Amino acid sequence: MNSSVLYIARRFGFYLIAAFAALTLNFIIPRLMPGDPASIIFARFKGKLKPEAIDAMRESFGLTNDPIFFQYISYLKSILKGDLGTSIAYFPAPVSEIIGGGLVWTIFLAGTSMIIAFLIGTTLGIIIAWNRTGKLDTILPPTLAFFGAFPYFWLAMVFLYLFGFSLNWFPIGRAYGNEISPGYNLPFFISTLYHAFLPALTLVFVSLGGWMLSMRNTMISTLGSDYITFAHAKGISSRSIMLRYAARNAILPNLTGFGMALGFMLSGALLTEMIFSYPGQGFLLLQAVQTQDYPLMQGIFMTITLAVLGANWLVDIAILFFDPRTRK
Amino acid sequence: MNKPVIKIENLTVDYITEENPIKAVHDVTFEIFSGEIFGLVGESGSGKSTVVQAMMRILPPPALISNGKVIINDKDILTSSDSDIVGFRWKQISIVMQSALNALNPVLSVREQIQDVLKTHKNLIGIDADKRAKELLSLVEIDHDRLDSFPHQLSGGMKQRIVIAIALAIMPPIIIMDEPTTALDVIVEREIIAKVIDLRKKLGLTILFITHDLNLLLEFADRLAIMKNGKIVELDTVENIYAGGKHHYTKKLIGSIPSASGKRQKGLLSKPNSLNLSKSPILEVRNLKKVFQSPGFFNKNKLVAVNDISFKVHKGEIVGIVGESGSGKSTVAKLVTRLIRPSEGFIYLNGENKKVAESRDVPLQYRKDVQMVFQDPFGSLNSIHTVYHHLSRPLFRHRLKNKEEMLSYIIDLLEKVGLTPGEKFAEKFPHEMSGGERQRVAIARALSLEPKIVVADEPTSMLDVSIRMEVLEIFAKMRIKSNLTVLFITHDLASARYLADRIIVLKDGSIIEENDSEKLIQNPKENYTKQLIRAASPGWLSELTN
Repeated sequence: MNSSVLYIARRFGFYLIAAFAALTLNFIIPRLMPGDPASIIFARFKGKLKPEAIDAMRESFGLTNDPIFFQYISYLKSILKGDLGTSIAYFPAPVSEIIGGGLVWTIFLAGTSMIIAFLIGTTLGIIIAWNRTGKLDTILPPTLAFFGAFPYFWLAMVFLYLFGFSLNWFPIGRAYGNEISPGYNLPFFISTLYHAFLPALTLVFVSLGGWMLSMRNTMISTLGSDYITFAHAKGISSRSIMLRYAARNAILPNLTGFGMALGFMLSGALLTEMIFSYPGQGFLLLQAVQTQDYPLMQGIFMTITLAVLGANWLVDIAILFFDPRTRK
Repeated sequence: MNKPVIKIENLTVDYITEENPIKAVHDVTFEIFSGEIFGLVGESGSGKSTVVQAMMRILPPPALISNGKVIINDKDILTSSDSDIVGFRWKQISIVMQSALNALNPVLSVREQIQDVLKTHKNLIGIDADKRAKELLSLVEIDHDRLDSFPHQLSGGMKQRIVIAIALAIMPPIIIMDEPTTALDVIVEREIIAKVIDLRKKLGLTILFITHDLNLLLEFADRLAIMKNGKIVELDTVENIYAGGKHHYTKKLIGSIPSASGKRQKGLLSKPNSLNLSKSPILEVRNLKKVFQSPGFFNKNKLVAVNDISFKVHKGEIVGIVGESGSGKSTVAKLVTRLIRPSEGFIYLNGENKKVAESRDVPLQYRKDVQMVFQDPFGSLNSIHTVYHHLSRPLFRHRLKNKEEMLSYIIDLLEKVGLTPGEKFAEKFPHEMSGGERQRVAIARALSLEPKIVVADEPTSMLDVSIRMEVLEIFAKMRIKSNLTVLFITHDLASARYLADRIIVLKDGSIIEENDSEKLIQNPKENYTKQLIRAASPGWLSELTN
């Protein structure tokens, strides 16, 4: 087990280096762009601010006339403290606070629907591969492939129009009802579920087929391997062969895929959040781009990068647990 | 040896295809008596594994048992219900599968895989199951610590023993062994067979042993059936088969077995009476070393595949490099052909040492002078191109022939390697040919550039036994005809003896022994060489079991 801990630590070290590289890029790129955020804000207020205010704002954005190296050091320092600067669009709210607010909703919406899609898709994949050429196997893959082929935003809009606008079954925006105050109480909880249902449904609907098909395909090739035939010859029960022998092996590639998707979920839910006006990370990113809110964009890029790296690290650990071949 | 425990009557298995069904097994009938070792011999495609899978009723579709009976202990397996079958498997009959190396589930520990069987059939769990698992490991001489190992942590030989332990878990009276040792090195293979024979004596098992290697079965089987194209062509006692058998196919199989001991049998391969060797070597390898570094940022694991070896090859000579898997013999082949770059050392061709460079920078002339024949005839030809394409590509690349001369040159070449008529073979695609024919094409491709030296890396190990010698003969003939130089790389000492003039024995990346073939066989100096020779000679079993 010692070597496993070492492996996890080594992977962590690797991701730390990658994160460091990403942070550095995040520092360099805005500085290569013409202009600076302070002048953008200054311009937006159209002369209502005194010229001295520009310097004060520059200071608060960390844009000093110090040598670039010192700027870099103070940038790293403030990131370690969780200080990502001040938003322009939501001036003077700090970026970290805004992102924190969006992140919770994205993780809740996209995270849950991804886990649901993964679980259902993988289970369906196992079942239809086991009963290959059965009824389910002839119906499900083409149907889901058919729906998967539609552009996502189109499908989401149809759902929104049909169930939200025409039938009025579900709300057409926001994460919880207008009249409800957020907090740890039941009405709020129910309201969030109610609001998340439709966007989550569309997300599950489009990603389900992918998980199912990839699971089905690896499962079918696994079923052809020698240890499955051997298990049949051993007289092991079908259930045990299906789960412990076939699915346990076939799920490994899907698990890696899950890790990747988990990271991209934070940015990938952009369209969903736009269409359903859901106040998550993607919605924020859209606003940041529209208002040229560089600090906010930078902060969002950084959280996405860190999330991808973190998710990959977690999957590394999960695979270590599921696949003994990765333990030395 | 009283009453038959297995009775197979008129078994016929079809593979259902779009057109007519293909008969994989045709009207096979045989009996196996209690306590005997019955051997079923056949080359690939003979239907021997299909027979076994039909017996266990584990045939994958589209195979269909269309006729016959399989009676095991007075019960017809083929008409039993599915639930009866599950109880019958492993209790009555267990199997050690072909490619047993892949028969273990990679994500379950050895303990779990043994206990699966104990739990299913005997309802043994907990401490009792643990105890039994340990007993089984002792039986096949594996350390008890290995219970918590996973398959990837075990060597091929150990996996094989574990599969045998699983087969013995609840002591069925009958065990089927389907090519149980094909993927193993000779010395390990012999140890495992000795173990099986030993267990059979102790436990009184009945064994059905299936293999393509007739030589192996001659050592220990009681009776043999020889299968070809889904039919049994001969069924007799080992003594009668050994004497040559009645069927011409049996005779051919017996005749194609080279031996690594005793006098050299005549008529297998001809050797020139005198060798016409040049004074200076055509190829010289000096202090060659290859170190592989495991991938990864912080990984410091290094593998020394080839460690400081030196040898010379003269024009017109056939040199055999013999070693087991992991000995570095294939690495030597890749180094000499400059497909990979040596870590240290020099390779001189014709006395010239071209700078040790990246493989893509190797001069075209070197590629022309040193050609290679690969082990896998299925992988070394591109399935979307014809034979003509495969043979013309190198000729165009090296600008040796123009379009007009090409076809007649290629036809000539194909006939040289025994593919007649050449016109017909030139138009064929790889999938239209047998493994042996494909390997001949690969040899023709290597010869097409008239190279100074051909490096043949296990050219026959994936071919059927009965055609191996014929393929090796191509090299022998080409040497006599055009003074070809060959570096013949193999795991099989016996075939190296027949083809090579000189043998280099490789172990763990170093040269153990080097001598003229017959001298090496008759007077081995090193222990390892002696072991190899013993494993490849008749009578090895009695030495091991006593």
